[in-house]
Amino acid sequence: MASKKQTASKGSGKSTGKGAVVEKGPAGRKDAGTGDSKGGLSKSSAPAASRKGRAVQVKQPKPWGLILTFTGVGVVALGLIGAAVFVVWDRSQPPQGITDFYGEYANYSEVSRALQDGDVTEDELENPWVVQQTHIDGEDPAAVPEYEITPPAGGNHLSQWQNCTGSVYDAPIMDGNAVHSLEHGAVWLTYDPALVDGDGIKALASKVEGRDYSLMSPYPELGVAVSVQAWGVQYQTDDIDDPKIDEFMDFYIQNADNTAEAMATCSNGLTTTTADQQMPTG
Amino acid sequence: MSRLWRRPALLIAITAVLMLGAGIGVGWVAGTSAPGNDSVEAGFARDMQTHHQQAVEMAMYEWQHGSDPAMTAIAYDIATSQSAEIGMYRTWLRDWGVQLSSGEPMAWAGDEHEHDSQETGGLMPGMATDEQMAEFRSLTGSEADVMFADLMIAHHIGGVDMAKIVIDLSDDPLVLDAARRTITVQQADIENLQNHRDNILNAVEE
Repeated sequence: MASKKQTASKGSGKSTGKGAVVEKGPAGRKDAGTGDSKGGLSKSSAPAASRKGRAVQVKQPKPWGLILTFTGVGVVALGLIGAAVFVVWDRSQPPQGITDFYGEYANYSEVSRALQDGDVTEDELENPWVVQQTHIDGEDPAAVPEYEITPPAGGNHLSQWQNCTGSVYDAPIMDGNAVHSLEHGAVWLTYDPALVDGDGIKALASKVEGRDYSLMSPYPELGVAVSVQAWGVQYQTDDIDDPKIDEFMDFYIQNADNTAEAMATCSNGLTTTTADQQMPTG
Repeated sequence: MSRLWRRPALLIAITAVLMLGAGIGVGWVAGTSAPGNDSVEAGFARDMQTHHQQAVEMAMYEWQHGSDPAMTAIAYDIATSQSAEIGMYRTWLRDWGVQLSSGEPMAWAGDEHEHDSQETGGLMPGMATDEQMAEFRSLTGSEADVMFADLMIAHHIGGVDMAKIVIDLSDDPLVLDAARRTITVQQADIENLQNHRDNILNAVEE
């Protein structure tokens, strides 16, 4: 309380000029909001009278035009901000109906961060293979990785990646090479040659050709017409015209949160298939 | 309020002042949120450029002169992906409007780390010396494969350490995300380099 008094007296000492203005009457209204004790005083005297005098004029009709204009501008501005927020959010959402293998985590980035922070161990994960990235042919060059799902969508792999620069293979390729491509951020499109005819294969190939970080190969005994996979995610459909195939490719090719090894390339990989009778070296 | 509506000029003036204030506020926040020239983030990005540059140099040599297909594939992978990351660091530095080099390696990481760096003649953690690079450049075939693995394992361990330091010191989401990726990728690389190297050594002995 003491300090309040001090400032009040300081204020009045400093601004004697102001005080004079207040006493003049209506013109002093501008100073009513300065918050010192003098303002409080003037509120109850001269400006009160001026408020009364002005109150008569309020009877004029409200300027609806102005009110509507400002309201309209406000609504449009809020709408634009809302739309922008939605578009940004929507782009970060994966397409619906995708099977993902990250369990309670949203993507590779989240699960690898949880591992680094010690929030979870590899064994506790629903599918530990989503964070396993060892070259299985390192210790034993003849070793071939085995996968829990078909076709595989991540896990330990072979030391060579399959070329995935919009590469269309007409014969099956090694799972372990394709999974290495997924690690680099590629989407691998596989189809069952028993369920897709020549025209269908052409239609599917057109989605991959000329598109870096994608590859396509037949997968005998697949059991479903088409299966597309990226690291940790998969989508299967019997309809080769399913728009979700394109949505999957658009979203997951080089997706920042689902690429197990960001910045790696698709070039200079293996270009042979199992039909070439040439097992991958390494 | 009713009085305000009758004074459109005043209303517009108030709106204009508020919008100007908001604009200045947004600009100020955006301007100050970019790391400065002496920041941990800028120091890390500058040093990682240099650190990666040597990895690219080693990997390009191995790609050309090594013989093991698994090792040369790793070399190709390191040369291309670390070149891409160098581009990323440069883009950060340019966006932040800071120097692209400083001549003070590891200064951002604190006195202890800077001192370590000075003792090794300005080398960052894990970097090969000129002598080591010269020796490596004299080798070909499986000898080059093995030395490449040894040099790159040490190089990656140093890179992982730098990433861990920046995670401790920074809270910039862009930098933290990149540092975490570096740790994940380079740790996987280290394991693969060790396995492939041991495999080559076994084959040479047999």
